[in-house]
Amino acid sequence: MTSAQDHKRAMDGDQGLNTGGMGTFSPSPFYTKEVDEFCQKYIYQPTVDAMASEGRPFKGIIFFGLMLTADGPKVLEYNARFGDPEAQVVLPRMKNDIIEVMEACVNGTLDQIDLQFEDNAAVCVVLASEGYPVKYEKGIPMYGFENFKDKDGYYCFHAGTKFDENGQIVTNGGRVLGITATGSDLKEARKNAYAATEWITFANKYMRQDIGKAIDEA
Amino acid sequence: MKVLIVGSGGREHAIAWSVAKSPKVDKIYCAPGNAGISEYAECVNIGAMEFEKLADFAADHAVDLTIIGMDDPLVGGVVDVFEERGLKVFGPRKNAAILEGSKAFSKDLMKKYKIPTAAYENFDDPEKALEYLRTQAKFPIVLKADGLALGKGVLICNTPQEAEDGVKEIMEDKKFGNAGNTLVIVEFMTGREVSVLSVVDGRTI
Repeated sequence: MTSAQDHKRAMDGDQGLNTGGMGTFSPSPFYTKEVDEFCQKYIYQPTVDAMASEGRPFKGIIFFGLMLTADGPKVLEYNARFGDPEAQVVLPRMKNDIIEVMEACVNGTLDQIDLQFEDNAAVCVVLASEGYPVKYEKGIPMYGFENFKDKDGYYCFHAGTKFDENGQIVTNGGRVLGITATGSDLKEARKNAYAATEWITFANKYMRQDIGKAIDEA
Repeated sequence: MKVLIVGSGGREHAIAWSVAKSPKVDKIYCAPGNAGISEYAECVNIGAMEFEKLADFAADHAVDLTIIGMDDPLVGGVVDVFEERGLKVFGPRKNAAILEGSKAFSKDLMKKYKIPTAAYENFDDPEKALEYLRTQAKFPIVLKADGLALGKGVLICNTPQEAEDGVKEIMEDKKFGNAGNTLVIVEFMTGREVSVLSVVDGRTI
């Protein structure tokens, strides 16, 4: 199990419209041992048991959306799959062979798997088309992908991209790329991720400049 | 083994990258995929909601495991279609994916099993929702479309007028389609948001 924190709004300072997510980081410094113990006891296993009791056994990923309130952690919502972009910071930190984990889920033998994550941090900054989520141009040529080749700890995950008729990679959506970097801690991961956002160029590139700002408040 | 990944976003690219690291895997397909995913996987032009075509593909190509990344096909029952045909698939069945697919369901579940969450009421009738907002609501208040709405079906309303407009938008104008047939009115909470990833096999988490 590991935590992440996302940034839903389109603009810096959590202004502007809600989007599918403009960036994320993992782990969350606010997800303390104390919070984890509470959630283990009152939220995670009780949810799984509740679904089984209802005759709806849940096999797969549950992504718990929590709010840490003055009265303790509460569930905001459940997701029945990896979050996006959260998968882009969580999977690069996972130590296990993902196939072994998924097969154990399907076979009901997860108790034999020790799910482990690296003792590091990852930050993902989404590169979007200027104007997202309202109105934006598509089909804009993009450059710089070769900069990620053979660089450990730097990832360029594609979302809205495609090859045009000449084999050139062009934009094909609002959220275009997720630029993820790892680091020994959140600050280093953020510095690395923002450095890597400069490796990619396209005419209507837009990103938030404050992904992971909450790290400084922890 | 051969793996099929269903989806086309950054999430599926991250899944494909992770699957490609597994020594057990020698072939990856992705439907429909994107330009980045094609570095690891053969992209197949089948949409994520074309369940029969996806299952046909998995059967014809002797796929050993299919991974469903997206919420829409899971809530729509893609896993059930695969299982009926004896195909191995990772993800919840339709009757379990409802945990995400219906906010009214998940709120009722949490209430019944005393899992901590914000206070709420479910409404199928816009008139009753408006009546509740006029007589019992404390502001700010949160309106949620029951179904899937690309993560956008949540309105935070500061005044009774905003809430009335919200009910109209979700339940009458159907801004989020059928997702707005039922409305969940939820107490407004403040605090930091955190998400937590877990893997579940039906019993163990």
